[in-house]
Amino acid sequence: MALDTSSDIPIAGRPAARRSAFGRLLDNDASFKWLLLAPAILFMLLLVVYPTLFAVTTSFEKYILPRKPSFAGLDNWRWVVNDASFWTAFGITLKFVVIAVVVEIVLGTLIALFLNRDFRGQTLVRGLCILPLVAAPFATSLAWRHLYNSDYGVINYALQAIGLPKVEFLADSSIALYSVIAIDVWQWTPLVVFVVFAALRGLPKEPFEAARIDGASAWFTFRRLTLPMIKPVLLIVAMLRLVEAFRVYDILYGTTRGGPGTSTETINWLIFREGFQYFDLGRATAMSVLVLLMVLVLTNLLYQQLVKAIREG
Amino acid sequence: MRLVIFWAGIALLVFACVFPILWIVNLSLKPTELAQASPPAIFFTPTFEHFAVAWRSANLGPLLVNSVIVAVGSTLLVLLVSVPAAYSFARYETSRGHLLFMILSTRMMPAAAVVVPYFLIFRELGLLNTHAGVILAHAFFNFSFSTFVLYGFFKEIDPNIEYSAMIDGYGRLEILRRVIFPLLKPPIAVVTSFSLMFSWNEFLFAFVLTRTDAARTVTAGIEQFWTMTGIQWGPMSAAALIAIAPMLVFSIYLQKYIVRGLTFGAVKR
Repeated sequence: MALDTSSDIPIAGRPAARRSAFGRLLDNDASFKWLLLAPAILFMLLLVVYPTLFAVTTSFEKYILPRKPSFAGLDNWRWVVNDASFWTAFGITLKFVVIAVVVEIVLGTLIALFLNRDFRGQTLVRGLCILPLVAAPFATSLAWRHLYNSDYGVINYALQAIGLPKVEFLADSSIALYSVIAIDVWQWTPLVVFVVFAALRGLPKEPFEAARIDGASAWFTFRRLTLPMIKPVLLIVAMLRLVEAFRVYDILYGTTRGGPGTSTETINWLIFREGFQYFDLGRATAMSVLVLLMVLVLTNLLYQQLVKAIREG
Repeated sequence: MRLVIFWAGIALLVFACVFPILWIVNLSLKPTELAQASPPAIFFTPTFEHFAVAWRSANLGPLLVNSVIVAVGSTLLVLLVSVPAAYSFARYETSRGHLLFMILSTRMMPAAAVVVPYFLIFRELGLLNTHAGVILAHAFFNFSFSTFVLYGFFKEIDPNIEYSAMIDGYGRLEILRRVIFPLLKPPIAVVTSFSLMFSWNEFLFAFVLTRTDAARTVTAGIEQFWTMTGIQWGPMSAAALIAIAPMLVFSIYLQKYIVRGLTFGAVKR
């Protein structure tokens, strides 16, 4: 800090004696910075810390609505850790997140490279490409449900028109997860496109001129120039998508609802089902707390990687 | 030839992005008997009856009002809390980034892990089926985002502007009012737009924390056309279109901020 105002030195033109107690609190850096944070801390305590503690205590209770909760020790935790469906759901979630994020990053980068030139109507094209991002995912997933239908869906109609067999996009348990991933890709690839596009527009021109004069191939230019320069941006957007992909819920509700069987049952869905269909809140909160811990560890690791990568990049 | 491939690519891209949304429009205008026709009907005499049905039977008017109340309420609450917090973090490195990281990590909490304790607590406090309940829940997940974007912006403001104002004899509040607030317009626009959009589009919390139409948002309200006997495609699509239309229009304005907003301000343009 260039200027220290934390002592009681009166600020020029304003004698300290005439300042109220509140005014003095404002003038002091140390108290001022915490005063600014007070609403945020209160907010965090009420909406984050308290619910988390509440979840932790509930996870040690037998609590099945509408009955009253009673202490149950480690029962819920034992059940969750030994429950095959929890670990299956965990695997499905990981699969969903990894495939969706990788496809979105690769596809998004390709589209951004493709769009990175000036052409007539470019503003309009970008304006239309943003639409999957701004429309409520629950609403659009319903349209996808209709498009995917095996009897009257447009996609199957088109497949059959070109002589391909019918695909049970949402009813076949070996395909359903990929169909839901495709919706996520449709929804979120535009984000990657927009971010990478902005990064590409911001790159310096000279290295690319030099590469062109030296006769470097397009692939070489991309590998050696473009990719290293946009790497930090790609990492940021990958991290962002990773975090959000774990939260996937709406498009499941609109399409498969975890099925067929449990083939698209993510952790989020499992917790929802346990809590709001079986009303076993003890088990639901035990799972919540476990997931919370895992996500915290994971994001902490990722965050450190990201910070490292950005510093090096 | 290259030009042809390029425009074909553009056409394919635009088609892929827009088609599912156009399909909602298509379904909402299609007579009921054609909704599940095969081959799919593309051309037909449009009917507006589904909009009338959706509007009447789904109570869409009050649901839209709820959406507005919740979106505006949660956005105001978020701004009230995150603006001073972000300023404190950016200017004074308060708590050396630990608290900031903690706030960021709240965004990583899986929604379902949060919604169960929220449901239980709100049930005890009588906040289920109230605007306040949904507002608090939406404020929760917009808070970290907002704090981060604002933090990025405040970091860019040269602190010397404030110091010179201080030397000129301005008090803290005057500096905030005369120096900081005028610079705040763009970041507040970013945060406000995104907070409104997230809240408007959010489904899980709005759905779980409301069982009646008293505070249910329009996005969660679409669900009611999914009945035991199946989906009423016409009215549901009409309701879905009414629910997403404001955001589709809003996206024209949003485009300016999308990159900064969606990357927590980490990527500038």
